[in-house]
Amino acid sequence: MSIKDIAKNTWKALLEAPKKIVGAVEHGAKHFVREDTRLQNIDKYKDIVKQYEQQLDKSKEIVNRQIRKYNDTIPLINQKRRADFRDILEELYRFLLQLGKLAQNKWDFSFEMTRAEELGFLEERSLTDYKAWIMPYEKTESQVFDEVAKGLIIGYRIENGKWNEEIEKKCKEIRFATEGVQKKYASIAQQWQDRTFIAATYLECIELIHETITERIIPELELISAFLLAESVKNNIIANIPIENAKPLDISAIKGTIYGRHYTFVKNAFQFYILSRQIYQSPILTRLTQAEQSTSIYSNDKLLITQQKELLQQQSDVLCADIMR
Amino acid sequence: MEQSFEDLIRIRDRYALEERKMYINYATKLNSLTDEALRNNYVKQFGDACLQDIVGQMIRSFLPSADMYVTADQIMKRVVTFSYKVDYDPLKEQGAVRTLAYNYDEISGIAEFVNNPDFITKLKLDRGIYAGKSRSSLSDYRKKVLVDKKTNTVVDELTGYVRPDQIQEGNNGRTTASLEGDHKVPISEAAVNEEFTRNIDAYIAELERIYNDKDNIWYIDEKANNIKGDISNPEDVIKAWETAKPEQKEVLRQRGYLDENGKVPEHIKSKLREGVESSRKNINVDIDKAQLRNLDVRAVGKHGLKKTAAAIPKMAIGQLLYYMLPPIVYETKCIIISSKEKKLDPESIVAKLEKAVRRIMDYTMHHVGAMFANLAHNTAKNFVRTVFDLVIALLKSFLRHFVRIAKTVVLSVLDSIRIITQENSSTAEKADSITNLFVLALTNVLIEIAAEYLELYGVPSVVMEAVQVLVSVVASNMVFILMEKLDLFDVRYGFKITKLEQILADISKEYDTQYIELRDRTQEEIDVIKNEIRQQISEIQKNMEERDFYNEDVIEDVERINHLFDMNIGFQKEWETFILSPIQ
Repeated sequence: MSIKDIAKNTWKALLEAPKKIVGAVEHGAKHFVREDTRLQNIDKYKDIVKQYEQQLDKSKEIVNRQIRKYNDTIPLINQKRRADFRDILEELYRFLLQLGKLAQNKWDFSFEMTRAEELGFLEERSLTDYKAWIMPYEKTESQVFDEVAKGLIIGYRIENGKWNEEIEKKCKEIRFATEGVQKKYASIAQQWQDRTFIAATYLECIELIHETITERIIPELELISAFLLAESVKNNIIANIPIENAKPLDISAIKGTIYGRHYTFVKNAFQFYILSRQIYQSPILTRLTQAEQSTSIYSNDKLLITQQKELLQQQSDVLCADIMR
Repeated sequence: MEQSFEDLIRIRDRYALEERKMYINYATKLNSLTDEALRNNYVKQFGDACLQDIVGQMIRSFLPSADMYVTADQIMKRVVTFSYKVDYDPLKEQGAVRTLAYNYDEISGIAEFVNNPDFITKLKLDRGIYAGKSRSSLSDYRKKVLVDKKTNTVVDELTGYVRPDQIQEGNNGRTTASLEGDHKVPISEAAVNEEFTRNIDAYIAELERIYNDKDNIWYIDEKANNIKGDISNPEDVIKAWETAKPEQKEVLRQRGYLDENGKVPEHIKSKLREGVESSRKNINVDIDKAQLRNLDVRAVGKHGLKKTAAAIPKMAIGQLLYYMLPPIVYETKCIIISSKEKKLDPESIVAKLEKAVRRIMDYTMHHVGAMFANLAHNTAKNFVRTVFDLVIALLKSFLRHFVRIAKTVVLSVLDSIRIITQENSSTAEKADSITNLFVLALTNVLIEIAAEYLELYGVPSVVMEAVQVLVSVVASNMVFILMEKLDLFDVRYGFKITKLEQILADISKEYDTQYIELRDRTQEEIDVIKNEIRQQISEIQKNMEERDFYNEDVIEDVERINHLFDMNIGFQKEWETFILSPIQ
């Protein structure tokens, strides 16, 4: 290195020195007015809000998974009802029509409903609130300089102290809310799990009913029909009534007789018919699980919060009165 | 009635509701606890602190316990609230900073020692050339009193009376002139404290120069000066003039020193008083400066040590009292209470006493280290205090206030060293205490100085003392509270944030526990229902497979399904409708 270089470097260092000193003073001043603490706190706050958001996403996924499982069961149920139950309804109807009064065979099928996947609902509002809350506490460099230049250093320090406390307090609030969210959606996921259980059980049941009817009721129907007709004809012949207009035997008449077992069977068939009709026409599962009512759980939240707010208002009024005394 | 799915759903919904309620409860609790932790109840703090301090200060003012370096009320509190587990030790507490600061400005009784007449020698100083008669060549005389050189008209500095200078040869060979130079502060007052001054000859020369300084001389009527003689107090001077012999009074009246009623006019009175007072102030400053320049530091140190050594026994007693009295009282209390309750006989009381003594000795031995540390620290402080007080007593002018402030600062430094070396606080806390200490101590000494000035206006000192105590306490507490608010080292802020964390942790834990308990309880209920339902289903399944439909009514099973799924089918009604109608 030549002397020129050394001189150049020394000159450069000399020029840097004031900047470094100013930097150090600035750093000290920033610490004194608690500026650096506030900026740290703002970063911490944003971190915590991000974690809150992440928890929301996680919880949403957990609930949606359960809802999907529920939704997967529904088409199976609907399919069974629509196709298979229609068939047995018609068979049973034809049989029973001969024997008693039935309503018309206009059966209106109604679908069991699925539940749409949920979005970020109540919590989305709180999330935007949290994100917006921190904004007044973020000041630009020029605003900070103005405050300090005004000479209100001590005042600014005290202000910053207050702000820091408020930010810390809000951080705690959000952290607690994160836990609350996790638990709330855990219980909602559980509810959907229960519903899936109900749906699966319902499917099992209607499969059982269908199987029973198909294999143990319907095969017997023709035989019984024929028998009852034959009996009626026999009776007509005995009673000398023309047999062309013979109708099957009155059911109530054979109750208690040696042919009573037919009575029982017909009654059973009828009961199965009624059951099947209800299964076909009514969205039993949907009504049971109230799947289409979307706000039942969440509306309670609003109610609870309003109640809580009133209670707190009462409490604070009492406290104020105490302090006055 | 058998369970249905409706039951299941109802229980689950109820659980969700309860869980929500629980969350809102805890969130609210968290909110109010954090609010409370952040709230600063300055007003209450202020009131409490003031009350405590006023009591302490009263005791301090009227009970000379400052020498023991523990105040009586501290001992009181320590004794009353003592137990082996909870040990109120004001020597360690931060709040004691306030009491330390109050103690600094105490004068240790050394003043009387300094003014011991054995040490003080009155001086007979040379009156200097300014006094006396020869003056015409003196520039000072010419500047001050000569009005007209030609006619030798002069003005009397006290009366403002202008007349020609008359020089007379007296019969005793004395030359008199109209005006004579007079020392405002009489030179006969000059004295030296031989014990604490070195270079005495140089000091005396200084004093001569100071007393004979032209600012201490004024030119007044020769007759008035004669009558006045060596009296220095303005009030006595006035009296002398007013009670002079009649023919002298006549002269004074002619020369304007007395009015028609034989009383000294107001303007002369005030000029007299002001002149003497201001000159005294100035002289005192110069004398003090000379004294400080010629201070025999070794003598000061020697006396300081002697006094401190004498004080050590008292300080040691203070320490012993501080550490032994509380456990003694505590043990005595315990023995008395238990002997009353259990109605013990003398033997068991003695046994208890033995155990108690052993515990007391253990406790005391445990704190011997602290005792010696305190003793050493207090000895150092005593020495500093004595030395400074000696110097303060030697000074007369406002300079001594600076020495008082210096004394406060040095004592604060000593205490700061002790605070720094104590292990049981963080750096920020230490910095905090030290700052508080300096600020409070300085506030206090400034208030005491202000009080002294107030006293010069003639307020009785007893009242002054009480007022001073109150003002001192209130001001110190205000400063303290302000320091708390400023929180220069963020100590209180740190405490608050820690408290917030604690609150969150506690509430989270409680919430978790309650939540888990509720969830598990509900899950149990629900599992019971689910199992029961599964059982129903398998029964139905069995029946569907095995029933003889010709002989058994399936009403039981379909009703079950009806109820299970809440289908609302009225089987009986439907059947009746079916069979009771005529066959078409």
